[in-house]
Amino acid sequence: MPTYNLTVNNQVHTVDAPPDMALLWVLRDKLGITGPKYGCGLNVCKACTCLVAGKAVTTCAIKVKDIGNRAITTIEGLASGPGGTTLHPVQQAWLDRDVPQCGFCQPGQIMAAVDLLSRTRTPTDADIDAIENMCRCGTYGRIREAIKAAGALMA
Amino acid sequence: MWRTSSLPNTLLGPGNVLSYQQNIGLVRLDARHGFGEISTALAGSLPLGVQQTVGNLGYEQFFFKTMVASPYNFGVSSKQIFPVAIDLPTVSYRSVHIMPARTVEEIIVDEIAARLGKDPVAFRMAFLRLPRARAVLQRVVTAAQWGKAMPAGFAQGVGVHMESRAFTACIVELDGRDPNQCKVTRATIVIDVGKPINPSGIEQQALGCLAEAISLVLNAGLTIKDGLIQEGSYNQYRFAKMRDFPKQTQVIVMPDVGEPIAGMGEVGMSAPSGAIANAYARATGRKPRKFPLNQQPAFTPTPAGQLPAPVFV
Repeated sequence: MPTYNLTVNNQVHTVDAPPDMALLWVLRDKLGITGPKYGCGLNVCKACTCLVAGKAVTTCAIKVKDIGNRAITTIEGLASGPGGTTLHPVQQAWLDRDVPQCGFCQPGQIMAAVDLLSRTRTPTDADIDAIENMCRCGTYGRIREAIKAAGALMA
Repeated sequence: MWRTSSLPNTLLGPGNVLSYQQNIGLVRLDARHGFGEISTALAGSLPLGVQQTVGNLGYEQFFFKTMVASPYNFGVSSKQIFPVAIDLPTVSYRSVHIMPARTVEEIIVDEIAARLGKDPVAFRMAFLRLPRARAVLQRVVTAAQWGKAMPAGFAQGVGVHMESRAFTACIVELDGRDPNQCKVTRATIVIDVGKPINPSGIEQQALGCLAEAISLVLNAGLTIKDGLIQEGSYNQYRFAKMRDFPKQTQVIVMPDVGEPIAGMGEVGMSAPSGAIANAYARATGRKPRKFPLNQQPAFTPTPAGQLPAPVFV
């Protein structure tokens, strides 16, 4: 099995993995980073969304061999400061608005929001509508509010 | 997918409803797993080796009779369930019996009101049995401005529900300009759960139920062909996504006036479901009879017995 050097949450990990292995399984099963969730494996539900080189990527749908030296950020790497005690504004907005219900899709929702807000701090409703992440509990209304609130926190 | 037939068993007197009889055919609720221990699992599975067990049928009739009620005073009325056992593994999700039974009743209530020449809200006010049901309806009528002028192709719709000592009423606004792709644009929900403990959680449950109501009434259906479900994942089973959820929502939780703690969760399903179907009828002039109401895009099902290939980008 080939060896890959992956930068995940600012830490370099060396993993042995089959080249075709989905990044999601490298993160979850090889590195024990379980924030990204497995939902469909088909690039449909988007629960596994992480940032690769700052952009939202569904990790079930990208092979480990295609990562190269691009940095990966999972939900675990969003908070900063000693021991990760300073929350990212999107995480703070999520807490302020009490967004999650069951919580399963929320790491993916938050990473999709971080990606959107990295492109614009004042997303329109159409920008937010373009997020395709599934939430079976139906928390969409509060996700929309939290994204706008986070944009204001980051401005 | 579920269907409703037209007003067959409703007896209308002059300006009154003398009798209402609703028969419900549904895929059976499979409770042979029991309720957390072996005795109820065994009882539900007896006699062994048959699809429709006596034990499971007993559970199902018990659930139906204890949980599904009508908030209306329609004279001599009855609801009966006729579960159909099919060779597909099924599990329960939110509001198994209640949502289809009560949504259909809310649709029929609008049609009875129309037949009697009454406004849907005025008709409900006259026939709702309990003051708390009338109170949530009155509150939603004010908050959502029932009867306000709507642009061409748009309409309001109303639904009322009572379950587990809780009461809900909902008014939605629906964009029916394309009758094959209707969309909920606004929803106002009033809920009386007796003693509210966690208002944020109540609002969340009500909004989650709204998302599910939009899905089941307008967009998300399963197609069974040759004994197999055709939809493979969320690209084909069109549960609501961000763009399907209305941008204007309001949830009003009625204050604690000393009533006992009531249910929440499933309780939120039926009022928005009825409201959406009724808004569809008013906006498009079509009777809601076969669900989901929106036209479903064609798709190529994943071949039977084969897992879909993972998609790589």
